[in-house]
Amino acid sequence: MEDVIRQGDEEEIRLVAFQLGREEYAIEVSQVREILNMVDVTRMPNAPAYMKGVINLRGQILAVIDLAERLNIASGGGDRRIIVVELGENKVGMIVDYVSEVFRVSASSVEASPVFSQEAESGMIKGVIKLQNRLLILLDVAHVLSAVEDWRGASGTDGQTAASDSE
Amino acid sequence: MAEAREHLEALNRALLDFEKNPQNEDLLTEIFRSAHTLKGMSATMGYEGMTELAHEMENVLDGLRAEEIKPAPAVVDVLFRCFDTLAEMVRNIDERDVEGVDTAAALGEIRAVVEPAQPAGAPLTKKREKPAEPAALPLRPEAPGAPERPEIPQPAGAETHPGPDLSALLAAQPGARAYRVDIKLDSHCLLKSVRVFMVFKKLGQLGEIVQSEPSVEDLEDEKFEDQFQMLVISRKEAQELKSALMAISEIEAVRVGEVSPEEHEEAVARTATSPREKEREEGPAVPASPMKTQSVRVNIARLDKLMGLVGEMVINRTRLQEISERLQDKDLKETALFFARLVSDLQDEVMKTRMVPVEQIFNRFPRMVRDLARNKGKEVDFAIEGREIELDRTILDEISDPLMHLLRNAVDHGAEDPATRQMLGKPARCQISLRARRDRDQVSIEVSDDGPGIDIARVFELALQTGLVSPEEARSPGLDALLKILTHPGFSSREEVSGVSGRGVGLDAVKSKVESLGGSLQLWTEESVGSTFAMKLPLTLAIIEALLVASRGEVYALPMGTVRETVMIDPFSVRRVRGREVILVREETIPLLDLAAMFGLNGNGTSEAVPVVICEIGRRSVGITVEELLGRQEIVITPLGPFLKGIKGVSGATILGNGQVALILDVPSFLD
Amino acid sequence: MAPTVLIVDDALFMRMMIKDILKNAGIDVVGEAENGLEAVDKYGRLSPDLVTMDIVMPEMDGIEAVKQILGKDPGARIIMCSAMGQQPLVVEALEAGAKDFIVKPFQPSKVIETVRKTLEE
Repeated sequence: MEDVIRQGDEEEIRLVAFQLGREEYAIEVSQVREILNMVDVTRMPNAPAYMKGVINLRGQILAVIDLAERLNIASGGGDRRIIVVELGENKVGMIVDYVSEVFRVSASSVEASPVFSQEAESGMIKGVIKLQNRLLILLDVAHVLSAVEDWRGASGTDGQTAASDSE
Repeated sequence: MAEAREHLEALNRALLDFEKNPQNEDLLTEIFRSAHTLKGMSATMGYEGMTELAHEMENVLDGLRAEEIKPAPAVVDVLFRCFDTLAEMVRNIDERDVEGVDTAAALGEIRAVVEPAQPAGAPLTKKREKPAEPAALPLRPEAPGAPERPEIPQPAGAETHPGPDLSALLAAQPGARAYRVDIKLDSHCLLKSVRVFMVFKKLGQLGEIVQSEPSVEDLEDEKFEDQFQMLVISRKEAQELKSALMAISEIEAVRVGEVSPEEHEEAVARTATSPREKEREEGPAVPASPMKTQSVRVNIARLDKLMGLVGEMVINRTRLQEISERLQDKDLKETALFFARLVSDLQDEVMKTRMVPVEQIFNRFPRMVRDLARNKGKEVDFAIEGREIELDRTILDEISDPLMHLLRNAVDHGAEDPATRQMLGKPARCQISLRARRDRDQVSIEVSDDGPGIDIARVFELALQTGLVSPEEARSPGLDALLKILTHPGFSSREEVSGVSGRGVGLDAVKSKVESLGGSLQLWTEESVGSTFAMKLPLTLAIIEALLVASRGEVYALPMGTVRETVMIDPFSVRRVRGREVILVREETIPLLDLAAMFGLNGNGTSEAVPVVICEIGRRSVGITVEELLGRQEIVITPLGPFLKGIKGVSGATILGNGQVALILDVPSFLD
Repeated sequence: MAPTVLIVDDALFMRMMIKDILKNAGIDVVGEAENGLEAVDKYGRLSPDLVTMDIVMPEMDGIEAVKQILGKDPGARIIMCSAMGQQPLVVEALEAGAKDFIVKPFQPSKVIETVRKTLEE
């Protein structure tokens, strides 16, 4: 029974691997809700460049970020997909270049990340995974999301429209 | 026809109550009266089909009153069927002035109820006699899309039909032997009925199935744990049958033993005497009197117009207050304040005119739950609380499908079959309730059952195996995490599967819908005690009238309350005052903003006249240059969510008819 | 030689989940299709040993695809991927000639058992 989740240190994690620029990244399957084809994104003014805008996800407004821009790397094009990640109440779409596969590794095979130069990346990277001839960067979705949330604060909060406002 | 509909409604309620209290003569009288009135009305108006059907219903009801016909569930079913036919006719007459329904089927059924009652003997022996071969197998495949029609079930106890005559069957097939085949499915098997279908199909190729226990119907409806038994006639060896069956997935064990006709007969004799007690509780007789409320009909368009006017008043209220502040006149100030309060109250009241009691959609659920339960062979008591609670009509329209899904789930998974319930020491009838209640500024709509509860450990086990939760999360299984798994698109069945379970919206679709209305879905469940799904909804939706405009390929919405007028402006008439662009409209100098430039979209200088929307809040105005005016529309304000809250210039978003998202402009921020 | 499989599902996420399960069991996924039309086309070109077929898909549903594939190759081995509540559709597919079915959410052990049994037949 190769699929039984083993106890203790041999615990397995399942990951979704995707391409972003020239690097390969991974996030945990448990944080992925679904993967969408690229759709038209309604542009969002007065927001950071990586905040691409919003899309209609079955009646809900979903904010979509360009993950490559968020991580300050050049996108490599590709067929572009939106990975919908969810953490608690927060849900966000992340545009990536190419989603390659779901795979599993034992939790112990995640190595601490070597110090990366860009400080922006530091908290967002959980570790690295070495597979035969591949190196995947394991992203910490919680950190990516909180980094997305951090930018605001400068603008006013009173966003009510006049018509429905009864002072 | 409104009157006909009232009588139909009364008839429907009375029938539902009658089913619970078949001994209640008052109800019977009420049903009879409604049917009689309908007959009279349709006869007067010359609708023959309706008259005839209502007449036949009267006959059956007469028989019931005289106790010549027993109020068996099947009889009530037929009455319901007739009621459906009548309702359809009334609808048709309403819409196109014709009955438009072939009554032959309904007439045939209802006459069949009366006729066997005339000669002495058991009423309703309209037993669905299966064809000579007891196993008309493989299982009847229900063509998807075919209307789900509950068939008349056999009277209780009828399934203890005598076993097939084995010796005769064996004599007809020289060289064949009879086998008793026991099958045990993997206890984690999903879609058990399909597994059974595969077993039947395989055995059908190797021989002939002459009997099954539980019955084919029960197997199809998955009314068995994980074991079933068949009597098979085949020329093959027992071992051959066994290995063929073991080759099917999710079959945990197979036992094949030869039986002689004598042994079989003995077995039949043993099981032939198991009368089943039909348990019908006699609840308190609650005659359903249709509630009468004092009301007038108002065209919805009127209400919407009223809403718009109130919106304008709200704007002017602010303006009036500003003026009174400036003039410092005590009387004016007082009046303005009083006026402001009045406008607020008026706005509240007008919002309330959009509110309708949940009853409007709840009323059709008793029937739906009843039919579902009958179909699944479950005994369910369905209770509704809080019919009078009110919700915005748009919200109410939107939650109808999700509610149906939750109720269907409750019947499917939240109600054990009567036998299981008795074994567990629960009352035979499952309690399913639909409850609406006010919870401060929210309305909570809850669907509860007292069924087995959700097997949390099992759900987490599945989710862990499929990677939907991480091992860490699986270590502390909580209700929130449970709901998250259940509403994962990969876990719940998918939305598009309509026609299969009616409108197969999965739990993920229920959650999406509730959240898109600004509400939330909650879950409570306890093993063997039951489950409750609660939708927490806002009382009213934020609906506003808006002007839709386009700029650089994007659509934006401007709340009508802030829009004063729209004008076409020739680019050469734009002036500059202290570095700002302004335009002159009837001697008034109004600052001009270019939407595209403001939002950092590439401007393309044009020399043609462009539309400008003049917005006004209080005394201050601003002109906004756009590319195109698309028109006025009612829009639902959808929140932007945590990541985009507080973005400058945007107050929310709305989803347009084509599914695209349009941003709602925050006009006050343009005036700063 | 490792057996070959064609995965048909309109959801990329689902295709990836099945692929992961099969790969771990030493089964070679030779192709993926997003709808019935693409499935029929790829089946013809790849001749896989087995197909996993979603039922509800755009363009052409899984049942129609089963019929068309079996029309061309009566020996085709197809396993349906179904969700709870799709019993009648699964039965229809089985009657059309599909060999077996698996139910979402996919349990690795069940998927592998079903695929192996079907390949052995």
